[in-house]
Amino acid sequence: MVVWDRAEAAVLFSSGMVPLPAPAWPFCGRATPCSSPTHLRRDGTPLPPCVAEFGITTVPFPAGANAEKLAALVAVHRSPRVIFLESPANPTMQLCDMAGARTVADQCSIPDRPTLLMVDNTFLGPIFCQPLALGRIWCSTRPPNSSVAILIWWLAWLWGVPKSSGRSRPCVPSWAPTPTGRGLAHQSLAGHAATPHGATAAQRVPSGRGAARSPKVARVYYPGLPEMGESQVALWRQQCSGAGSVISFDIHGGEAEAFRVLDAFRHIRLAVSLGGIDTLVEHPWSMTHAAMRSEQKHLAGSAMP
Amino acid sequence: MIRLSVGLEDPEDLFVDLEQALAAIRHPEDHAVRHE
Repeated sequence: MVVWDRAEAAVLFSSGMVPLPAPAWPFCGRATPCSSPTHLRRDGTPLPPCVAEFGITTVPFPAGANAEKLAALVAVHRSPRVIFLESPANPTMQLCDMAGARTVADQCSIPDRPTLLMVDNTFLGPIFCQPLALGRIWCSTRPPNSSVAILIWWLAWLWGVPKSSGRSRPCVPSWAPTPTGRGLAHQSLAGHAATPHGATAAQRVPSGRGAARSPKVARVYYPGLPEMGESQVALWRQQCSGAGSVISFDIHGGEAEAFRVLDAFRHIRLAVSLGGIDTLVEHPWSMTHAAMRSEQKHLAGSAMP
Repeated sequence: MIRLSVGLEDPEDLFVDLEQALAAIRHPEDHAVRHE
Protein backbone atom coordinates (compact mmCIF):
# COMPACT_ATOMS: atom_id res chain seq x y z
CA MET A 1 0.00 0.00 0.00
CA VAL A 2 2.95 2.30 0.49
CA VAL A 3 3.73 1.81 -3.18
CA TRP A 4 0.18 2.06 -4.49
CA ASP A 5 -0.86 4.95 -2.33
CA ARG A 6 2.55 6.59 -2.64
CA ALA A 7 2.56 7.08 1.09
CA GLU A 8 5.35 7.24 3.59
CA ALA A 9 3.82 4.32 5.44
CA ALA A 10 0.62 2.33 5.62
CA VAL A 11 -1.39 0.54 8.26
CA LEU A 12 -3.49 -2.47 7.27
CA PHE A 13 -6.61 -3.57 9.10
CA SER A 14 -9.56 -5.86 8.72
CA SER A 15 -12.87 -4.53 7.44
CA GLY A 16 -15.40 -2.63 9.46
CA MET A 17 -17.24 0.67 9.63
CA VAL A 18 -17.03 1.15 13.38
CA PRO A 19 -13.49 2.55 13.41
CA LEU A 20 -14.45 5.52 11.26
CA PRO A 21 -14.49 7.64 14.40
CA ALA A 22 -10.98 6.51 15.28
CA PRO A 23 -9.36 9.63 13.77
CA ALA A 24 -11.36 11.76 16.18
CA TRP A 25 -9.91 10.33 19.35
CA PRO A 26 -6.67 12.34 19.24
CA PHE A 27 -8.80 15.47 19.43
CA CYS A 28 -10.69 14.45 22.54
CA GLY A 29 -10.86 17.12 25.19
CA ARG A 30 -9.51 19.83 22.92
CA ALA A 31 -12.90 21.46 22.37
CA THR A 32 -12.24 22.10 18.71
CA PRO A 33 -14.63 21.58 15.83
CA CYS A 34 -14.11 18.72 13.46
CA SER A 35 -15.69 19.19 10.06
CA SER A 36 -16.85 16.06 8.40
CA PRO A 37 -18.86 14.96 5.40
CA THR A 38 -22.20 13.33 5.39
CA HIS A 39 -21.87 9.66 6.02
CA LEU A 40 -23.62 6.69 7.47
CA ARG A 41 -24.59 7.71 10.97
CA ARG A 42 -27.87 9.15 12.13
CA ASP A 43 -26.51 12.69 12.37
CA GLY A 44 -24.86 12.43 8.97
CA THR A 45 -21.29 12.37 10.21
CA PRO A 46 -18.78 9.55 10.48
CA LEU A 47 -18.53 10.13 14.22
CA PRO A 48 -20.80 8.74 16.96
CA PRO A 49 -22.87 11.22 18.98
CA CYS A 50 -20.81 10.52 22.10
CA VAL A 51 -17.88 12.50 20.69
CA ALA A 52 -19.66 15.66 21.83
CA GLU A 53 -18.96 14.56 25.39
CA PHE A 54 -15.29 14.72 24.53
CA GLY A 55 -15.40 18.26 23.23
CA ILE A 56 -15.66 17.39 19.55
CA THR A 57 -18.16 19.16 17.31
CA THR A 58 -18.97 17.87 13.86
CA VAL A 59 -20.26 19.99 11.01
CA PRO A 60 -21.74 18.01 8.11
CA PHE A 61 -21.60 19.42 4.61
CA PRO A 62 -23.23 18.27 1.37
CA ALA A 63 -21.76 15.47 -0.67
CA GLY A 64 -19.66 16.82 -3.51
CA ALA A 65 -19.00 20.14 -1.79
CA ASN A 66 -16.54 22.34 -3.68
CA ALA A 67 -13.80 24.54 -2.26
CA GLU A 68 -16.06 27.58 -2.09
CA LYS A 69 -18.61 25.75 0.03
CA LEU A 70 -15.88 24.41 2.29
CA ALA A 71 -14.33 27.86 2.66
CA ALA A 72 -17.71 29.30 3.60
CA LEU A 73 -18.16 26.57 6.17
CA VAL A 74 -14.72 27.13 7.63
CA ALA A 75 -15.40 30.87 7.83
CA VAL A 76 -18.27 30.13 10.20
CA HIS A 77 -16.66 27.27 12.10
CA ARG A 78 -13.13 28.59 12.43
CA SER A 79 -10.03 26.47 12.54
CA PRO A 80 -11.41 22.99 12.20
CA ARG A 81 -8.95 20.32 13.16
CA VAL A 82 -10.04 17.99 10.41
CA ILE A 83 -11.76 18.28 7.05
CA PHE A 84 -13.04 14.80 6.27
CA LEU A 85 -14.04 14.09 2.68
CA GLU A 86 -15.78 11.09 1.24
CA SER A 87 -14.97 11.10 -2.47
CA PRO A 88 -16.70 9.57 -4.33
CA ALA A 89 -19.63 9.89 -1.98
CA ASN A 90 -21.61 6.80 -1.16
CA PRO A 91 -23.99 6.19 -2.91
CA THR A 92 -24.28 9.26 -5.14
CA MET A 93 -20.72 9.04 -6.52
CA GLN A 94 -20.25 12.79 -6.11
CA LEU A 95 -16.59 13.79 -6.13
CA CYS A 96 -15.18 16.39 -3.78
CA ASP A 97 -12.60 18.92 -4.90
CA MET A 98 -9.68 17.46 -2.98
CA ALA A 99 -7.15 20.02 -4.16
CA GLY A 100 -9.53 22.80 -3.18
CA ALA A 101 -10.08 21.20 0.19
CA ARG A 102 -6.31 20.96 0.60
CA THR A 103 -6.06 24.71 -0.03
CA VAL A 104 -8.87 25.46 2.42
CA ALA A 105 -7.20 23.28 5.04
CA ASP A 106 -3.92 25.12 4.55
CA GLN A 107 -5.61 28.49 4.77
CA CYS A 108 -7.32 27.71 8.07
CA SER A 109 -4.30 26.03 9.63
CA ILE A 110 -2.53 27.93 12.34
CA PRO A 111 1.06 27.46 13.52
CA ASP A 112 1.59 24.26 15.46
CA ARG A 113 -2.00 23.24 14.80
CA PRO A 114 -2.54 22.23 11.20
CA THR A 115 -5.94 21.38 9.86
CA LEU A 116 -5.76 17.81 8.62
CA LEU A 117 -7.42 16.68 5.44
CA MET A 118 -8.72 13.13 5.59
CA VAL A 119 -10.07 11.43 2.49
CA ASP A 120 -12.17 8.30 2.31
CA ASN A 121 -11.89 7.19 -1.31
CA THR A 122 -12.99 3.60 -0.88
CA PHE A 123 -14.64 3.45 -4.30
CA LEU A 124 -11.54 4.42 -6.28
CA GLY A 125 -8.36 4.24 -4.27
CA PRO A 126 -5.60 3.63 -4.43
CA ILE A 127 -5.70 2.40 -8.02
CA PHE A 128 -7.77 5.10 -9.64
CA CYS A 129 -7.30 7.97 -7.24
CA GLN A 130 -4.37 8.85 -4.98
CA PRO A 131 -5.31 11.69 -2.65
CA LEU A 132 -1.91 11.50 -0.99
CA ALA A 133 -0.40 13.02 -4.12
CA LEU A 134 -1.85 16.31 -2.93
CA GLY A 135 0.29 16.12 0.18
CA ARG A 136 -0.35 16.25 3.89
CA ILE A 137 -3.39 14.04 3.73
CA TRP A 138 -4.48 11.12 5.82
CA CYS A 139 -6.04 8.84 3.28
CA SER A 140 -8.49 6.12 4.19
CA THR A 141 -9.91 3.92 1.52
CA ARG A 142 -11.19 1.38 3.97
CA PRO A 143 -11.63 2.03 7.66
CA PRO A 144 -9.67 0.10 10.24
CA ASN A 145 -11.47 -2.06 12.72
CA SER A 146 -11.60 -2.93 16.41
CA SER A 147 -10.07 -1.37 19.45
CA VAL A 148 -6.74 -2.67 18.26
CA ALA A 149 -7.13 -0.48 15.20
CA ILE A 150 -7.76 2.52 17.41
CA LEU A 151 -4.62 1.72 19.35
CA ILE A 152 -2.64 1.43 16.12
CA TRP A 153 -4.22 4.60 14.86
CA TRP A 154 -2.94 6.32 17.98
CA LEU A 155 0.53 4.97 17.32
CA ALA A 156 0.32 6.10 13.70
CA TRP A 157 -0.84 9.47 14.86
CA LEU A 158 2.00 9.86 17.33
CA TRP A 159 4.46 8.69 14.72
CA GLY A 160 3.08 10.43 11.68
CA VAL A 161 1.76 13.83 12.61
CA PRO A 162 4.91 15.31 14.12
CA LYS A 163 6.70 14.46 10.91
CA SER A 164 3.97 15.39 8.49
CA SER A 165 2.37 18.47 10.00
CA GLY A 166 5.19 20.67 8.76
CA ARG A 167 4.64 22.21 5.38
CA SER A 168 7.83 20.64 4.10
CA ARG A 169 6.54 17.08 4.59
CA PRO A 170 4.28 16.13 1.72
CA CYS A 171 2.95 12.74 2.78
CA VAL A 172 1.54 11.02 5.78
CA PRO A 173 0.58 7.43 6.52
CA SER A 174 -2.31 5.84 4.76
CA TRP A 175 -4.85 3.33 5.92
CA ALA A 176 -5.74 0.07 4.31
CA PRO A 177 -7.67 0.38 1.05
CA THR A 178 -9.42 -2.94 1.39
CA PRO A 179 -9.92 -5.65 3.96
CA THR A 180 -6.58 -7.26 4.52
CA GLY A 181 -8.16 -10.69 4.52
CA ARG A 182 -9.10 -10.31 0.87
CA GLY A 183 -5.49 -9.82 -0.03
CA LEU A 184 -3.63 -7.13 -1.86
CA ALA A 185 -3.46 -9.15 -5.04
CA HIS A 186 -7.22 -9.40 -5.00
CA GLN A 187 -7.50 -5.66 -4.56
CA SER A 188 -5.38 -5.08 -7.62
CA LEU A 189 -7.09 -7.76 -9.68
CA ALA A 190 -10.60 -6.79 -8.73
CA GLY A 191 -9.93 -3.10 -9.13
CA HIS A 192 -8.47 -3.39 -12.58
CA ALA A 193 -10.63 -6.20 -13.87
CA ALA A 194 -13.98 -4.99 -12.59
CA THR A 195 -13.61 -1.44 -13.79
CA PRO A 196 -14.20 -2.17 -17.48
CA HIS A 197 -17.27 -4.09 -16.35
CA GLY A 198 -18.31 -1.10 -14.27
CA ALA A 199 -17.80 1.33 -17.12
CA THR A 200 -19.74 -0.90 -19.46
CA ALA A 201 -22.40 -1.45 -16.88
CA ALA A 202 -22.80 2.28 -16.29
CA GLN A 203 -23.84 2.54 -19.91
CA ARG A 204 -25.65 -0.75 -20.29
CA VAL A 205 -26.73 -2.31 -17.01
CA PRO A 206 -29.60 0.08 -16.41
CA SER A 207 -30.83 -0.73 -19.88
CA GLY A 208 -30.30 -4.46 -19.87
CA ARG A 209 -29.06 -5.84 -23.19
CA GLY A 210 -30.64 -3.13 -25.26
CA ALA A 211 -28.68 -0.26 -26.74
CA ALA A 212 -30.83 2.45 -25.20
CA ARG A 213 -31.29 3.07 -21.53
CA SER A 214 -34.40 1.56 -20.07
CA PRO A 215 -37.19 4.09 -19.53
CA LYS A 216 -37.59 2.49 -16.12
CA VAL A 217 -34.22 3.98 -15.09
CA ALA A 218 -34.52 7.64 -14.13
CA ARG A 219 -30.85 8.46 -13.59
CA VAL A 220 -27.41 6.83 -13.37
CA TYR A 221 -24.68 7.92 -10.96
CA TYR A 222 -21.13 7.04 -12.05
CA PRO A 223 -17.94 9.15 -12.02
CA GLY A 224 -17.27 10.80 -15.34
CA LEU A 225 -20.74 10.32 -16.82
CA PRO A 226 -21.98 13.54 -18.49
CA GLU A 227 -25.19 13.44 -16.50
CA MET A 228 -23.12 13.90 -13.32
CA GLY A 229 -22.66 17.51 -14.44
CA GLU A 230 -19.82 19.44 -16.02
CA SER A 231 -18.08 20.29 -12.77
CA GLN A 232 -18.17 16.65 -11.65
CA VAL A 233 -16.81 15.45 -14.97
CA ALA A 234 -14.03 18.05 -14.75
CA LEU A 235 -13.16 16.91 -11.23
CA TRP A 236 -13.13 13.30 -12.35
CA ARG A 237 -10.74 14.07 -15.20
CA GLN A 238 -8.55 16.07 -12.84
CA GLN A 239 -8.46 13.67 -9.91
CA CYS A 240 -9.06 10.16 -11.19
CA SER A 241 -7.58 7.74 -13.68
CA GLY A 242 -10.59 5.43 -13.71
CA ALA A 243 -14.18 5.28 -12.56
CA GLY A 244 -14.30 2.06 -10.59
CA SER A 245 -16.96 -0.58 -10.44
CA VAL A 246 -19.67 0.93 -8.24
CA ILE A 247 -22.76 2.35 -9.92
CA SER A 248 -25.94 3.79 -8.51
CA PHE A 249 -29.17 4.39 -10.34
CA ASP A 250 -32.67 5.62 -9.68
CA ILE A 251 -35.67 3.84 -11.06
CA HIS A 252 -38.99 5.48 -11.72
CA GLY A 253 -41.50 5.04 -8.96
CA GLY A 254 -40.33 4.79 -5.40
CA GLU A 255 -39.33 2.41 -2.69
CA ALA A 256 -41.89 -0.20 -3.65
CA GLU A 257 -40.59 -0.34 -7.22
CA ALA A 258 -36.98 -0.49 -5.99
CA PHE A 259 -37.84 -3.36 -3.68
CA ARG A 260 -39.54 -5.25 -6.50
CA VAL A 261 -36.42 -4.94 -8.64
CA LEU A 262 -34.18 -6.02 -5.76
CA ASP A 263 -36.38 -9.02 -5.03
CA ALA A 264 -36.30 -10.04 -8.68
CA PHE A 265 -32.53 -10.46 -9.02
CA ARG A 266 -31.51 -14.07 -9.49
CA HIS A 267 -27.75 -13.92 -10.02
CA ILE A 268 -26.82 -10.59 -8.42
CA ARG A 269 -26.96 -10.90 -4.65
CA LEU A 270 -28.48 -8.46 -2.19
CA ALA A 271 -25.70 -7.37 0.18
CA VAL A 272 -24.25 -4.12 1.47
CA SER A 273 -20.58 -4.83 0.81
CA LEU A 274 -18.72 -3.68 -2.29
CA GLY A 275 -15.47 -3.94 -4.17
CA GLY A 276 -15.39 -7.73 -4.19
CA ILE A 277 -15.33 -10.21 -7.03
CA ASP A 278 -19.09 -10.85 -6.76
CA THR A 279 -21.65 -8.41 -8.08
CA LEU A 280 -23.76 -7.11 -5.21
CA VAL A 281 -26.78 -4.86 -5.13
CA GLU A 282 -28.31 -2.91 -2.29
CA HIS A 283 -30.86 -0.22 -1.42
CA PRO A 284 -28.92 2.55 0.37
CA TRP A 285 -31.99 4.36 1.69
CA SER A 286 -33.10 1.36 3.74
CA MET A 287 -29.82 -0.53 4.15
CA THR A 288 -26.40 1.16 4.38
CA HIS A 289 -27.86 4.58 5.10
CA ALA A 290 -30.88 3.48 7.11
CA ALA A 291 -29.56 5.04 10.31
CA MET A 292 -29.42 8.52 8.80
CA ARG A 293 -32.34 10.89 9.22
CA SER A 294 -34.26 11.73 6.05
CA GLU A 295 -32.90 15.29 5.92
CA GLN A 296 -29.36 13.96 6.17
CA LYS A 297 -30.05 11.52 3.36
CA HIS A 298 -31.20 14.41 1.22
CA LEU A 299 -28.06 16.36 2.21
CA ALA A 300 -26.02 13.38 1.12
CA GLY A 301 -27.83 13.44 -2.19
CA SER A 302 -29.85 10.27 -1.70
CA ALA A 303 -33.00 12.07 -2.63
CA MET A 304 -34.85 9.14 -4.06
CA PRO A 305 -35.77 6.16 -1.89
CA MET B 1 -31.84 4.58 -5.60
CA ILE B 2 -30.12 1.24 -6.06
CA ARG B 3 -26.36 0.73 -5.68
CA LEU B 4 -24.59 -1.89 -7.74
CA SER B 5 -21.04 -3.12 -7.03
CA VAL B 6 -19.98 -4.85 -10.22
CA GLY B 7 -17.77 -7.89 -9.82
CA LEU B 8 -15.86 -10.12 -12.18
CA GLU B 9 -18.70 -12.19 -13.60
CA ASP B 10 -19.47 -12.22 -17.30
CA PRO B 11 -21.13 -8.85 -17.94
CA GLU B 12 -23.70 -10.51 -20.19
CA ASP B 13 -24.93 -12.55 -17.23
CA LEU B 14 -25.35 -9.34 -15.26
CA PHE B 15 -27.21 -7.62 -18.07
CA VAL B 16 -29.60 -10.54 -18.40
CA ASP B 17 -30.20 -10.54 -14.65
CA LEU B 18 -30.80 -6.80 -14.52
CA GLU B 19 -33.07 -6.89 -17.52
CA GLN B 20 -35.28 -9.52 -15.97
CA ALA B 21 -35.21 -7.69 -12.62
CA LEU B 22 -36.34 -4.45 -14.25
CA ALA B 23 -39.10 -6.39 -15.91
CA ALA B 24 -40.59 -6.82 -12.46
CA ILE B 25 -41.77 -3.21 -12.51
CA ARG B 26 -44.07 -1.44 -14.88
CA HIS B 27 -43.04 1.04 -17.54
CA PRO B 28 -43.36 4.70 -16.38
CA GLU B 29 -46.04 5.25 -18.99
CA ASP B 30 -48.03 2.52 -17.29
CA HIS B 31 -47.85 4.58 -14.10
CA ALA B 32 -49.08 7.61 -16.00
CA VAL B 33 -52.01 5.68 -17.40
CA ARG B 34 -52.85 4.34 -13.96
CA HIS B 35 -52.92 7.84 -12.45
CA GLU B 36 -54.99 9.40 -15.18
